[in-house]
Amino acid sequence: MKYIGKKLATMLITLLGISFLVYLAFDIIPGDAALAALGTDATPESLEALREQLGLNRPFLQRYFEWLFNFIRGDFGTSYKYHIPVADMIVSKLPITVIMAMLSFFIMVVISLPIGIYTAKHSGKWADHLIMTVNQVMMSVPHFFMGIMITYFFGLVLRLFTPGGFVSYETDFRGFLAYIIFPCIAIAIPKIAMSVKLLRSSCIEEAKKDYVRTAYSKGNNTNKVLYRHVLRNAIIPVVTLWGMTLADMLVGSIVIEQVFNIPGIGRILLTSISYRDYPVVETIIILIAFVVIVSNFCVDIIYQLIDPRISVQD
Amino acid sequence: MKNILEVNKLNVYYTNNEGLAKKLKRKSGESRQHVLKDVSFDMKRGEVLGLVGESGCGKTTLAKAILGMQKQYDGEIWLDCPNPQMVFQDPYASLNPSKKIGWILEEPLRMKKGSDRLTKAERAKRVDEMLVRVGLDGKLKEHYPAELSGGQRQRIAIAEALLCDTDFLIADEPVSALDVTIQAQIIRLLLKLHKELGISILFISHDLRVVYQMCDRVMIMKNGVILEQGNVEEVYRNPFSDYTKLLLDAANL
Repeated sequence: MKYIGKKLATMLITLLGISFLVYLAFDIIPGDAALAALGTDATPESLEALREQLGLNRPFLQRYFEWLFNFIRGDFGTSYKYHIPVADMIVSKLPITVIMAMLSFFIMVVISLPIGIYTAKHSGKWADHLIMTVNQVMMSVPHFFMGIMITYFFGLVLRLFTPGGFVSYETDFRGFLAYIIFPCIAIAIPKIAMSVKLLRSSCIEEAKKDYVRTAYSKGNNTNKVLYRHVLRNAIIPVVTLWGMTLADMLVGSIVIEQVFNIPGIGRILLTSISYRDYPVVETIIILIAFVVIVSNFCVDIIYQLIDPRISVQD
Repeated sequence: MKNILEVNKLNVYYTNNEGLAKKLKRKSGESRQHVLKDVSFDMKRGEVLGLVGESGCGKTTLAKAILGMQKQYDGEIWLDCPNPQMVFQDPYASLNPSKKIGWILEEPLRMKKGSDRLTKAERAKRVDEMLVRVGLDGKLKEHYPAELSGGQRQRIAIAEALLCDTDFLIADEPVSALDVTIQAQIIRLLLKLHKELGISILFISHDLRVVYQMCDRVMIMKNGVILEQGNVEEVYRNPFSDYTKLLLDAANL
């Protein structure tokens, strides 16, 4: 419990730090709400008057805390470009990106575990060589290119889905899942390749340890040694990798949304950056940071469950 | 007294695992290493036999061959024990870090099937008895290996081997990773168990003093060859090979 409390405190401090840095960065970058409202050909006098009216001339910290409290209350500010609350723009799109990241993660875990175990068990045999060669190729292909290949192969050749025919989760959840499964596979494939490689080498390394020999001499067969002794210890570095990929997948889905024409957070983020719509960009950065930090927190908790040594050192 | 182990003209080669290019370049393809050379010895039931030699001389390879973990060898190994056990040098690698001590110790008992099958209570009782026998507190069952000291872990490793009902134990440098006072405790424990249970121990070490305390007979090994073997007292008093003399000088014995 103490461990969880400590982790929670670190998590909150990290989030606070990120919000501060993000706010500071967008304060330093030229361009503000007044400039956005009046355009570049506004007179300095009218700009100054609007800044006074919006409270942009107040000290930085005062503005930061006001923004922070509003943010916590769920008021993310107003878009410079569309003049509607940022929350309204994001809330309906956030589930798309988050579900995509979660589905990719799930695909990664479910596929990489058996392949990793299989290759470790049969290391050195031809099946292992074959899988590891394919694996190496998959690892080096960027996911957006994988996305293009999948669109071509599954969409145009096999006609398993209609490229560009995205269905919103609000109207048809099944249709939505049937569409996003393909971008999710594209996101997952390079991560599957990494996990397989790590799990395989981790299992092989763990199997060299003395306790594994002892396990054999106690009368265990290969499968029992693998599942009861080796796997539990070998999976620890893989869980670390998975924790880090969760963040990658969120970012990955932002890119892949473009390839598959999905109106998620990614599209809003890209258009907001090009229009310098800072409140939107700020909010998305902080939300992504929030998801990443929360997922790392979950990994830490899972860690403690699978590796008793961590709670001992605490 | 009957022999428990007979090794006759044992030769072990390690093939160097080279890349294809190198293999093709070399015409003969001969790139193997001769690790054990014509090793022959007997071990009597209930004996403690010492095996002394520097690191890399083939001690561990010999142990592996006896346990059946080194599959490729020339010569004969005859072992009159169905389930030989081994205690390793590094007490930090010899216990599964993710299992509790109780689970680890009960594992060989859970393997018993059919008429030998033990109930949960019987298993717990056997484990408790064994913990007392190796001089540990029964409370340790609820702990993970990481919470134990090196000496405690080595006691657990010994208990684990004994719970397999073995009468032949290979102790591969079991005290080399421990500090001197703990070394003495573990040696005393092994001697006590040897006396009480009559198990045969092949005791591998590079420490001549420890071997002197532990063993009845000793073998001196160098570069895969057994240079001499005999009664500990005799070998130490009248070393036959120069290498043994060197070792004895270095150990100040």
